[in-house]
Amino acid sequence: MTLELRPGLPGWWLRAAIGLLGALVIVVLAVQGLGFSMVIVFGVVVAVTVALPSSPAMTVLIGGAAIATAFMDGVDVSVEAVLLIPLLHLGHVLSAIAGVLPLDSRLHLSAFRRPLRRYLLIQVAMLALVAVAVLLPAGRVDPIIEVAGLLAAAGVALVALPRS
Amino acid sequence: MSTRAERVRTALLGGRNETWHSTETVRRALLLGVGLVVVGVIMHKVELVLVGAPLLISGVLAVLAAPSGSPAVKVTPPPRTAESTDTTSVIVEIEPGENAELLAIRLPTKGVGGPGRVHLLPASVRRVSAPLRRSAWGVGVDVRVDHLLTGPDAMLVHGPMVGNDMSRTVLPPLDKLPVGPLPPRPAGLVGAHRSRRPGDGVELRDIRPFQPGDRLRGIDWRVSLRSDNGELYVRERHATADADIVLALDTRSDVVPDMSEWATSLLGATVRPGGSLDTSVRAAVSLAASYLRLGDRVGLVDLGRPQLGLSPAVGRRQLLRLRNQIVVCAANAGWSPSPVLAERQVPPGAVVVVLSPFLDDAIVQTAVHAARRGNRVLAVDVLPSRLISDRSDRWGEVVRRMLLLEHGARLTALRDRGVAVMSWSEGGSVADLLRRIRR
Repeated sequence: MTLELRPGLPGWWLRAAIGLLGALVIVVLAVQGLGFSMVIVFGVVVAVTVALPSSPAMTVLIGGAAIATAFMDGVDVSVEAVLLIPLLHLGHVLSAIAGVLPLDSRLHLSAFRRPLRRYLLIQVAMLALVAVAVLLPAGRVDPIIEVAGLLAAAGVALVALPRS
Repeated sequence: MSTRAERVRTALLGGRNETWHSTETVRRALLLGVGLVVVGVIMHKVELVLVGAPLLISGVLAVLAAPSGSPAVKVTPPPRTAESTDTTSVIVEIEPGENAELLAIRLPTKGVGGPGRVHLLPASVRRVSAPLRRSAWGVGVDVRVDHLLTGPDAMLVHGPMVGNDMSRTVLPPLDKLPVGPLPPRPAGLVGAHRSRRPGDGVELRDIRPFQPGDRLRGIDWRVSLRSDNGELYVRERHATADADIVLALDTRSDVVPDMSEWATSLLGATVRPGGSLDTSVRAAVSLAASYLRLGDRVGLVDLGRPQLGLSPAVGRRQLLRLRNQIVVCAANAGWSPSPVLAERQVPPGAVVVVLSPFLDDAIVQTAVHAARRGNRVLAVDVLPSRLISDRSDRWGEVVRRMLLLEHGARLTALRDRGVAVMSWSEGGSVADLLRRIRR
């Protein structure tokens, strides 16, 4: 079947969406008690992410936001932290796509169907994991279980890393 | 084979763009994902695990469903020549390979000049049709299908691959113009113009007594019966003849109303839209079409590059040839400092239409020399009617006035030497001018 090309949406919408997500992440972190100076730093990182989505700026944003939310709050799983999970994941997906497109490109919404479906499936799994984390009793875990978990994660990484 | 040799071989074969390769995103997903999960477990911070897990999962899924194969893009080229009103399409067929998810492809886009914008499409699309339309005439690259394919979440990509430039020639548009009576060619036989000699045309020339050799069907029976002397009378008609018209295009300069832009070049185009060369070309093709439709012979002379001219000829093929040749002339515009209109370029008895902004004395001399050789010369002034002075220069207004005075003096000099002059921008008609000079 032949697709008749339509004009599509402007490519900067993708960058705008990344900027909006970055702003939401900063707002969530500020609600958690992030200092003004760190808000400025995160703002700069978001700006770099919007300008250069293929750069490591999104890596810095996700890592920084995760560390900030983990070490700022005394509660094990706060509402803000749960909000950050879909935001940071969506930012990761959108910056990946924006990284391979020029700014003046045109977007066709049908292209986002499969990435969005995968995103939603992963987020459903994450919600289940959050539910488990909230329901499980907090406390020290047996060291043998921790070691087993670490080995499992390392095994997954070894299998998944590209051979090249 | 050593790693170095492999790298050299890959570079010679076209680099990593021709293979599926990872991006920054796959490193972020796997390394940051694993890092956050491991640190979260070690430090008992479940937030780190929850943020890192989606990245790790998406990275693992992308690697497990890694795309493979050799994607290919095939373009059906559009016709090389087109009218400005034509709406055609370029068809692109895509073979994306296995597990490809997204396709970023440069295709002609409505409202955007050149090869268009990059469109993000699902890789499941196998055939795309993109409308191809360019209103500006001339040669231009309308299609260049650059493309890139990605796997899930753009973690592995193939490309970007740069496509081949496909250029098209959009012919100058034709406007219907009323045409005037041209002086017939001395050796012309048939055509739409009245010749001085008697012949088999339509227009009555004379009624005279019958002579041996006259055709019987030429006898005017009504006049013969009314005559008292009993002689037969015949109706004599004018012969018809075709005419030669030579369009002399001054391609040496291309000026627009804003004088501050005269010294700057236009990027990506050879002719300024609305400029004097654009006006000349549109006028030339419209005149050519109108006279060729009458059966006259129309030729072309590029005053800037004489070798690009066309000898006078008739018919639809000549019109197509002329329009293509005018595009070639416009693409090579601005090469010669002085105009050339040699005697051999203009047939005897031909009407020469000089289309120029008349910005120097050399073009005036050229037109006058052609008139002195016995050709009827029409000077069509294509200088924009309202020139805007360069406001950044304090002498801008003075320059504009001086230029207009000199321009007016040149047109007066042309009129004084028997060259008929008209201004195209003021809505003058060649037909009116021809009728005026015929009286």
